[in-house]
Amino acid sequence: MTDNIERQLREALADAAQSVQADAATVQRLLSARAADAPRSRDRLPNRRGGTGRHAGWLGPLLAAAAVVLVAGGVVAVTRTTSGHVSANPAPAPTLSAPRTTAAASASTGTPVRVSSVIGQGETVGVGMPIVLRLSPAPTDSTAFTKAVQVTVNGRPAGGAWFWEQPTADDKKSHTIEAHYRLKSYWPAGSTVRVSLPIGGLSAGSGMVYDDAFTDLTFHTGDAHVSVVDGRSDTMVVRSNDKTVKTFAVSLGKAATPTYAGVKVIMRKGEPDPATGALRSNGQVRVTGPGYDVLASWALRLTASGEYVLAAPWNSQLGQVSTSTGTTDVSSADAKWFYEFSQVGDVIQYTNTGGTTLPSWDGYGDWNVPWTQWRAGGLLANHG
Amino acid sequence: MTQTLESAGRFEAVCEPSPVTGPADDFEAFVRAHATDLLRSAVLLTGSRERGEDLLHDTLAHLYPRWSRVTAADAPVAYVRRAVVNRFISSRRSPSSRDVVVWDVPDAPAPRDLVDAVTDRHLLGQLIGALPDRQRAALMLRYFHDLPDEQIAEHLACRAATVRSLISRGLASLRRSVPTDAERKAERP
Repeated sequence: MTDNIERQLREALADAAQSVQADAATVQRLLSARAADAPRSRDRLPNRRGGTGRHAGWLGPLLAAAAVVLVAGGVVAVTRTTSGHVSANPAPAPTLSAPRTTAAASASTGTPVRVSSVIGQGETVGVGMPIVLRLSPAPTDSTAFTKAVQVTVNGRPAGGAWFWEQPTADDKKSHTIEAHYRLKSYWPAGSTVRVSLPIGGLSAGSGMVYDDAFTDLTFHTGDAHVSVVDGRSDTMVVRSNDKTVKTFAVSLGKAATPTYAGVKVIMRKGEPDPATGALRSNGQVRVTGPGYDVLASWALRLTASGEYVLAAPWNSQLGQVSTSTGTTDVSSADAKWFYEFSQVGDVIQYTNTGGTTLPSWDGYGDWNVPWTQWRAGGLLANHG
Repeated sequence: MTQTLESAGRFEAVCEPSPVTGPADDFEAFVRAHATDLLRSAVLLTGSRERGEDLLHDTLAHLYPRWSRVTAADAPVAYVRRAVVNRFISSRRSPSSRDVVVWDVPDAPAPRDLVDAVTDRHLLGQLIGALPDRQRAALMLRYFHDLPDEQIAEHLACRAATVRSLISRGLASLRRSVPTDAERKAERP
């Protein structure tokens, strides 16, 4: 298995590492990580990027002596760098930290509020996916947060709004709140969304300040998958970027257990097996209820309350009658196709189901809140 | 694909830091003992001394309030190294944090001589720098730290199969870009 490249790589890495030594100054700087006000690298970024055009080349400084001579022949246009290692005490640029200090002056101490995101860094999601941040303990005042947090779509201000809710009883018990962000309509397809959260040290209400551990989230949107399920015809029309790509028969919830109407967002594909933690094969989820306990294949979760689109080989009346317990039953072939087609965050709009509209707190029911109400902020009022 | 699915649901445990614990006395001893070792990892990841030091500093600043977790780990150094790798990968995902890539792989053959070995190392350095971050991290963990795939998988929060794929793709890119001995002979004027 070991070939030339692997050997060369080993040598190159070992060589490069050899020349790295943590000297006393470096150790001192690293020890300064203990101090709360230690200059963090991001505080110095404006200084570094401030037009000096300095780019450190990979291993450039480490092999500098050899490189200058050998590279001259044109092997690699290294860099415009002169990047000798800068001193252990780079001057912090006050530009970023100054306003933060001012804003936090009245609230620099308090219980830290931790922030995490449901969307992972760099993930690609469907156009209906709200940004969902979970904050604990729950802030009681969102003013500083909404003022500081910036959301851009492809580099331009997004123009959406934050809406605060506690979707589950557990959230209330654990003093967790969710901040959801969406635009007036779905995200544009194929975009990059960036959320910058310079909120460390800002007030989250009386006696609470935001932790500064979560400062930045970037994710992408895929094709615009916006499908429509009509309970009257028991059909589903799958659309991608405004073009119909497939139509198939479904069966929704019977009258006693109607499927919610309104806009739903795919929350999850399949589920992990609790025993192993690995995803079950074939997109299976375990669905249970009175008289049944089965592993259903190609299941896409739509609501926290348990609605799915899934393969229902037991249902012989697809496209004819709605007979399910609320799930959207689809043939195995169609369900497999749709599962593979779909991504988390894709939108399915349900009409004529006989059910009420999906509430905002059940899964990503966000789109069922009218925009004017959304903009008001939910549990924590938006000001301005 | 699998990772996206597993991390996307709201029912998944969201990784949250533990409650803040008091400062630990052994932080200083740890840093003094392992600074060089950890700095090497950080420099190999970021490609420069300066950025490597920043990365390690930021990681330590992040870990310090929860230092008891580090000391409680089976292998504290491995724990911190894993945090360095994580921080590197997640910070680099934001486009704005990315410095402009200046690698310029030549399309014209370079003059080569007895110093082939050295140039190759340098060239390799450049080429590794141009690889996607996770591939680079995987290569570093295998070929510098000699970690088994399972442990690399833990560092990168993925499966061992994914690690093998990252490594083989990384090596394939390098192979494509580095001239073989035969090509080199042919190139020689």
